[in-house]
Amino acid sequence: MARMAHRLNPALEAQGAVTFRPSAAALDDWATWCAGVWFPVLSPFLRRALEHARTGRLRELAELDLELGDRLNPEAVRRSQSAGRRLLNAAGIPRGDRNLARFAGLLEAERAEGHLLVVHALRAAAFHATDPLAAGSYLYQEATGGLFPNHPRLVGECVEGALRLERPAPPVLRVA
Amino acid sequence: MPDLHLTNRQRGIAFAVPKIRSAWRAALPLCLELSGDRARPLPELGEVDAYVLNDRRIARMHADFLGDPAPTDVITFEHGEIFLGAETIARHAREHGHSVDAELLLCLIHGLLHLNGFDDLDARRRQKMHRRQFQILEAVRGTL
Repeated sequence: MARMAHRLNPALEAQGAVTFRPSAAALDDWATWCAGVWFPVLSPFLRRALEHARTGRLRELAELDLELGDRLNPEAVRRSQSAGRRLLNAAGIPRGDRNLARFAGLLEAERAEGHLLVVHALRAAAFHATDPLAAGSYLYQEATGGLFPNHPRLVGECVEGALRLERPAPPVLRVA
Repeated sequence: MPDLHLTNRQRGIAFAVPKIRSAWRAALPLCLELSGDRARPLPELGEVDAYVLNDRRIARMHADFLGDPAPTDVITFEHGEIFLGAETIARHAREHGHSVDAELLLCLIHGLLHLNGFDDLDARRRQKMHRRQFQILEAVRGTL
C-alpha cells in the first residue's frame, strides 16, 4: 500500500493535510473524517473517477471534479486543488499515457479544478492500480498528510481500518 | 457525426468565435470525406471540444506532457479534445497573410483531419495534410 502510494505520489510526505485535518485527538478525528467525508463523499467519488479514468472519459471526469468541489468545504477545496495540481505537474507519468495531458488541458481550459482525488485516480489508472489499492493509497496520502507523517505503522493501521469497514460483510452461510 | 464545440478561454487575441464555429461545422463533412492512413476516431466521436488558450497555458501543457517547452498553435488528442494557442495562431496568421479568424479555422480543420487519420510526422504526409486543410479552408472560409 505504502509503495503504491509513493509511486502514485512521489512527494506525498511533503504534501501536508488535504481534506483530513485533525485536532489534538487525531485518532478520533480520523474516525469522524472516515464517517463524514471518506465513506459518503470521497470513496464513491474515487470509484467513479477510476471508472472514467480507465475508460478515458475525461469530460465526465472533469464534471466529477467540479462536482467534488461542491461537496467539500472551502478550505479543503483549496488544499485539494493545490495538492492535485502539484501532483499533476510534478510527478512522472508512464510512457504512452495521454490522459494526464488531456486532463492538464482541461485544467488550462478551466473545465476542471484539479482535485487531488481526481489526479490520483488518473495516475492510479495509468499505473493499473486495482480499486482497493487505489483507495488504500489515497487514504494513505490523507493519513500521512494530516495525521502521522513520521509514523507509517499508525498510518497503515488507519488505512487498513478504513478499508476493512468499507468491504462488504461476508455472506452468512446457513446450513439446512 | 460529432457535435463540435469551440470555447475561447483567453482575451489577448480577438476572434469572431460564432462565425468560426459555424465555418468549422461546415468543414466537418468535408473532413469526414477524406481519410488518412492512421486510425480514424472522428466518425465515432460524439463530441469534439476545442479550447482557445493563451500561449502561456498551451506552452505549459506542451512542456509538462509532450516534452517541448515552446508554445504551439494546436494540440489534438484522439479522444476529441483540441487545444489552440492564440498568440501563435496570430503570429502564423501574419506570416501566412491570413486573418486571425481564418488561421484559427485552419487549425481547427487541421485538428479534425488528425482525428480522421491524417498525420504530419514526415514531409510527404505533412504536405498532403496541409494541401487538404487549405482546400477545405478555401471551401468554407466564405462564411467567415
